[in-house]
Amino acid sequence: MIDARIQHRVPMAGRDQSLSLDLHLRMEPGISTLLGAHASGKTLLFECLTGIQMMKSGRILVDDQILFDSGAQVNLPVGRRPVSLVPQANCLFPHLTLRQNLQFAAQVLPAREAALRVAELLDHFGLKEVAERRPDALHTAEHRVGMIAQALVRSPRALLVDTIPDEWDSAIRLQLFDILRELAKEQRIPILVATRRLEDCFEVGGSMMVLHEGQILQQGSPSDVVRKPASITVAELFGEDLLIPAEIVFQDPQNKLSRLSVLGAEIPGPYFAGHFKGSHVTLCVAPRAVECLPRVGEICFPGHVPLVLRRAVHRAQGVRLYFEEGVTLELPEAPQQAVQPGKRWQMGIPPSAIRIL
Amino acid sequence: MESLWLPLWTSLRVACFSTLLALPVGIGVAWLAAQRKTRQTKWLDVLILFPLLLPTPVLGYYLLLAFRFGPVSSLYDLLWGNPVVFNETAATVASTIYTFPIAALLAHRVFQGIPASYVLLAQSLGATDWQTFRQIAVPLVAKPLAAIGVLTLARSLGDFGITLLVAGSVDGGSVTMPTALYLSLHAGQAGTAALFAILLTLLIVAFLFAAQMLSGGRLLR
Repeated sequence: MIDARIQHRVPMAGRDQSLSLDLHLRMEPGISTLLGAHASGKTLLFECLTGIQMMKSGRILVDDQILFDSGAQVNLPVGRRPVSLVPQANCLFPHLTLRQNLQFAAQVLPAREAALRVAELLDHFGLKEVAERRPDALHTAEHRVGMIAQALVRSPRALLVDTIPDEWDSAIRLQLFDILRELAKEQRIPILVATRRLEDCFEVGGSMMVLHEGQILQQGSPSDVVRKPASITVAELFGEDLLIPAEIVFQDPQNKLSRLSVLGAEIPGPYFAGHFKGSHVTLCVAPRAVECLPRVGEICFPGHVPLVLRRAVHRAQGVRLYFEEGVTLELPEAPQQAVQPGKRWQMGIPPSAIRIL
Repeated sequence: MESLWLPLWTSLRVACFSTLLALPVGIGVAWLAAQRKTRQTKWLDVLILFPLLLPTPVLGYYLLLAFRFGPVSSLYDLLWGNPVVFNETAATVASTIYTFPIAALLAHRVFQGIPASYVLLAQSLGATDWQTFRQIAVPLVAKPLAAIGVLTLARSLGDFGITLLVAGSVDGGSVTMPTALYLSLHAGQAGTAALFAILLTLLIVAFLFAAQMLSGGRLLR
């Protein structure tokens, strides 16, 4: 279990601002996600927990061991803390093979135990075949799994996985989440996965924490957090992406296509592996990918979702449109006669922009 | 012809020994300075730059005083039965002091190029500072450090000011090539002086090319 109260502030590199943490983190064994935008404090939190950041105020407990206590002047140095970090970037040491990378981490163990531990982890994660390869010859997933194995060499009592790069495709993300879920079950330790993507929280499962400007604003299951945001700030954090309920009405794995029933209209979508016809899902769509047009009369273009305008708010950047269906979109400009309440609009969603939660 | 080869061999010997001394010390100090773990390490910048900024005759003068009156001098005298000044040992120490800042400055630049994530990862895995330095930092920049070794060697061939003061121009071993060039000019041997100049230039060019190749064409990047 992790129980950490952290107050910490650091200047942001290259800016006049500073990044601060003021939070109480409590985690039971199992997997959890830490959702936060860029510069919300995810990496800083992990650096405080591992001891990379020199904290001035707070208290960190893992199980019953005090790692840091400003009051009692306890500060276990980095490396002696039973918390391991899998950094954000792929950073196995490039001049060492995968096995040597693990051996480097195993130096803290007695020699015989170290050799056994390295062999056991390579075997456990199916990395024996690639153990003698250098990191540049590993696939992205192998590299990241190798980093997890390296972090586990010392048998930590908590594992922190820093933000997974956004550019990684979903297959690698899913594979990694499977491994971490399994690990949480086997090791019975707290595993905290940082992410910028809401759908990762749903994929990983477990509990999620919403981190914003160094504070944990809400904690709970992903569906509860999305359904009942604790504050306007949390709601606005999700508001960047449109969340629209939908039903899968057709799946074509051969052509990688699907059709979705969305707000009474049928639209094309991509193939959703692991989901079936009739599944009720929540679509997650970036507003910038959406085409939003006023309708002429009752006519709605094929594959477009009909919407009815509730109200429009003119802002410096453009017009924000609030629709009856719960969708909010912002346009740089809109015809005056089309922004009257009750006016009919339509929304086109390209299949490539659709992700599901 | 002997007057040409003797300073050459002396210079090469002095350069090799002073590189063996200056390079590890320079690399070690550069690593500590690059880490900036304690407040004291800020002063390492001063330690690196001081010998570089101080005029070489001043450095030579201090060294001469140390060699004449310091405890090192007494110990050396006791062990070897002759004073440390005006011999090859003095020339080697002079060259080491002259060369150390360059080795340290270049190594500092190389160490700063190592992504901080590797060092932080090593530390978070429980590695000691020495393990991080020896097993991660040095192998990661092995090629640039080898290039710095060659540049240090090239630099150590060139000291004149300090060497002249502490090693003088005593025949039989302590005359390095820059000193020999100076003495030849004074003696009116313009041809010999030109030969020393050309030889030194060729050696420096050869070392530069070797360093450029070792660093993969990224000597100053």
